[in-house]
Amino acid sequence: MTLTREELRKLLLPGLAALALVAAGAGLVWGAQQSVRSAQLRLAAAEADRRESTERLTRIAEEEREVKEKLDVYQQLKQLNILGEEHRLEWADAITRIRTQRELLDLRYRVDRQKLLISAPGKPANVDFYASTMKVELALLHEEDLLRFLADLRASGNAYYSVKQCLITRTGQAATGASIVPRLRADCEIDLITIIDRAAKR
Amino acid sequence: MTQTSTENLKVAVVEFRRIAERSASPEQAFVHVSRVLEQFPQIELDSFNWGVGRPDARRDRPAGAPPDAAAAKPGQGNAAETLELSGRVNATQRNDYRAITAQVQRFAAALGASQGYELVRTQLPFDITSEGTLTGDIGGGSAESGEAPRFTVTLARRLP
Repeated sequence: MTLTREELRKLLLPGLAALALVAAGAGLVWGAQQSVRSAQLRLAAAEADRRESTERLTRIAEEEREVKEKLDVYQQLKQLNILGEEHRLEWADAITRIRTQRELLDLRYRVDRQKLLISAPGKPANVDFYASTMKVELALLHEEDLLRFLADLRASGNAYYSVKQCLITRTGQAATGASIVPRLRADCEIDLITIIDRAAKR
Repeated sequence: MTQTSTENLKVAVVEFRRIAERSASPEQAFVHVSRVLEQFPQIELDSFNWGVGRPDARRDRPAGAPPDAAAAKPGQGNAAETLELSGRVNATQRNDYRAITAQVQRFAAALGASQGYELVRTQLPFDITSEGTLTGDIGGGSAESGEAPRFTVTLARRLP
């Protein structure tokens, strides 16, 4: 088919319009693809942000749980007077009370001078752990007397009682009908541990 | 109500827990020894020496005493519970070395077989090693004094 000059002139305008429309269509497709790509990038960034925020939130929640749990322990240490200065008079009272309540035959003790056990670095100040070693001599009817004494001592608070050594030996004393004779003797060393938090404010 | 920093709160509690984990009480050792003793009615204990701490820092250890179990095993935790039992074997002829040895060794093996305790050392009332001299108080002074031969068993249990 051969087109005349006249026909070509008539087709020129629609042809140009068609080319323009094809170009516009291609531009729109390209623009849409760019838009999709950009949206995908934004989505990925938003998802990454969300993941990071979730992780941060989880970390914060975990830290909060940890701090809460430690706060409970800290408060217990405070209530038991393990945190704070030593209470030597209360120690003496507790031992006297235990001896009376348990009807222990003989009980002697000596608390040595306080020594620094550990100084743990904290912020803004250190947390110092002190120990005062108590040497106890007990006359026992039965080994259970010693275990009860240790349990009562722990329950009395005012320090954390860490038993370091206990030597139990037979007294060799023969039982007499007239009086109760101790059959065993215990020599123990117990560290009475207290904590000073240098950052604590009352 | 005491206020402190979060850092100090954490440090105080973490360090306290560490100290508490390294602490122990003689109750468990008493229970363990009592249960084993029930199986050995002929054995009578004279002393029960319980301790806890770094094995090399164990107080009042007599000169020449052998190292404790945890000290002999490098890489293990520092804190250990040690238990030294001294006693006698009754109802056995004092010159019956074989019977006394067997009973002490069975007793020591039973002590070191459970509850996490390890047998560190068994000292018989006499020396039966090739390096030593077979002496002791059997048929000697102890026979006159009427005392049964004494043995010593040392156990250790590692703390976390």
